[in-house]
Amino acid sequence: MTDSATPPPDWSLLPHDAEAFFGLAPGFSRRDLKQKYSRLIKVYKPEKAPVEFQKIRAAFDQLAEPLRYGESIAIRDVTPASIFGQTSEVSSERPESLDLELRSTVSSPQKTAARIRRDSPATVYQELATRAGKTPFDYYALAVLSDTLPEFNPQWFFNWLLAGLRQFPEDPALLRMLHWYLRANVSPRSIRRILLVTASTVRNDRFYSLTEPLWDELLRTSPFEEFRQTLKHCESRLQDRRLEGRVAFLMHILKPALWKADGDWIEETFRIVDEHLGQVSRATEAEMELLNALREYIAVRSTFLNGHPLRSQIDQSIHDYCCLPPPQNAPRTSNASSVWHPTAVSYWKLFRS
Amino acid sequence: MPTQDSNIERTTEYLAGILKLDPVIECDRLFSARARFLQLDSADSQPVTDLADQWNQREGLAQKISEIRIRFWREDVGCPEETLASLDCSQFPDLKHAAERLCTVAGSRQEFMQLVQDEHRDVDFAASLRKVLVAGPREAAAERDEAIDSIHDAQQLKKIKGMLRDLCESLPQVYGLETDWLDAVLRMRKRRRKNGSPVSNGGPMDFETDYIVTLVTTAVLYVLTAAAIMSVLTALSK
Repeated sequence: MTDSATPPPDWSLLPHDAEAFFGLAPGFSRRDLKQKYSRLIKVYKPEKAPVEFQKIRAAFDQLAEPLRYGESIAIRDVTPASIFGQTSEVSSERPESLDLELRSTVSSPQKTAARIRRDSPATVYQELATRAGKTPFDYYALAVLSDTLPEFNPQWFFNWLLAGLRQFPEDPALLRMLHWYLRANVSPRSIRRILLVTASTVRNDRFYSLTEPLWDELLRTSPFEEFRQTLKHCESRLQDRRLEGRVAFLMHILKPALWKADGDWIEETFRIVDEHLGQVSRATEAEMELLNALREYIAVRSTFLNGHPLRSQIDQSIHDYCCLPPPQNAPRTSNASSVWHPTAVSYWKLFRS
Repeated sequence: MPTQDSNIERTTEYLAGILKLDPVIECDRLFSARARFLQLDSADSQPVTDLADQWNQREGLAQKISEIRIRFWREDVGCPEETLASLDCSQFPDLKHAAERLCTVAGSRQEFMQLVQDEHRDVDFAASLRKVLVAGPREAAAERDEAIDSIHDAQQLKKIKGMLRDLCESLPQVYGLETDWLDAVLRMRKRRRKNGSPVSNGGPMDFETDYIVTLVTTAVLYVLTAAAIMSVLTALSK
């Protein structure tokens, strides 16, 4: 009954049910997740089992992101009966008269799916698009139906999701759809526009967690000045006094930004994080310590690189960890001289001391 | 784009399937189906006409597995092995895993029941173990935590460990389904007593210490009793 006798995890649960894959109980904490993750990667080490490691890492990231931003992942526990509007918070701008109308015209997934077999998608789309008092499900159906219209426009799907969120800002299904859309279907050329439009619709602290991968991509592929201006424009559209999401986002984006940003931006961003760190219950000392170590490292990086060739590998490993998306930021080689990012950062700390 | 007459059926099946998905928990399936339909990703392609049928098939299988779980331990219901074997879950890895797990337990159901129904077993833990073995992943995780929390004292833990060792020896395939958790129980040493306990008022209690204290107390009692008997015998002999 040693670790070696432990049966392998159930890979078939990925990517659908990362919680069950890790064996986590409902309401688990970041610490619980890290414990389970560490236990698995002790068995599936990146240099020995890179494929399995990447799957574990992807599942970890899937669960860690909402925890990092302080969002309840209990959204996954929403029962089918409560999906699409029956428990959604309707925007205060919605006219009261529409609610009355909604009750008589409410549609359901089953009814709409059945109608699709009787009427053409264009007919159903037209009817839903002109309906007053749309439900969250109507917006979802419109997004899906828009993909099948003769005059197909790939932006309509996204536009209908945003239209739904303007009316139902807290609807879990629409938020989940937008979350996935922004991680699956945005071309690099559209990132800036998508970010600006999203900031005009999701005007609260949740904006940061929803759009995080787009910022990573923008930072990777564009000059820093474009990133900075886009962030500034987006933030000017937000109307939320909460800072938890913003601070979590800045702590995340600092890791790659430290390699590209100018000194003023870095200093200002560290100031904001330091000032509001106490408000972010999930921010850990370890993460802040890592950021400070990175900042020190980048300041003396050129000196550090003037030495043994192994230092270049360490530098590359730290850079990949900070700047590449998972799982690409895992180790590149499996030979004995490869160094993985935590080891590399630790090595840097030793060097510094 | 599927706008020609020849593609109407394909579009209808795609829409009928995708509109029934639950976006909160099936977003990955939803976006995979959309990518295939729009040919955004040619890899991993799957005929979209199958989507609606698959959804119905999956729903039916999940329902059957759920029914089996509910009635699994009832003695008046026959062994569910045959029903499980008749389920074709090959398209749905999560359901396939669930069915295989239930099959493993079903194959040893009688032996398992005999083992845990022994009068020396801890009844509560045995009940939790029964639930964990057949429950879905989420319910099982909650039940495991509850079972651990319900262990109060060394005597109870000793009974549980005895049962688990027997289970590991006689039904290793069943034990193997929960190795992580059951190994953790076997390694348990420290537990917290229930609040309000006359012994510790919720303070930590080391089972080993508890055991040693009991041993020492018993030994002292033996010595005192022996000394008393010796004194009486000595007095009588005089």
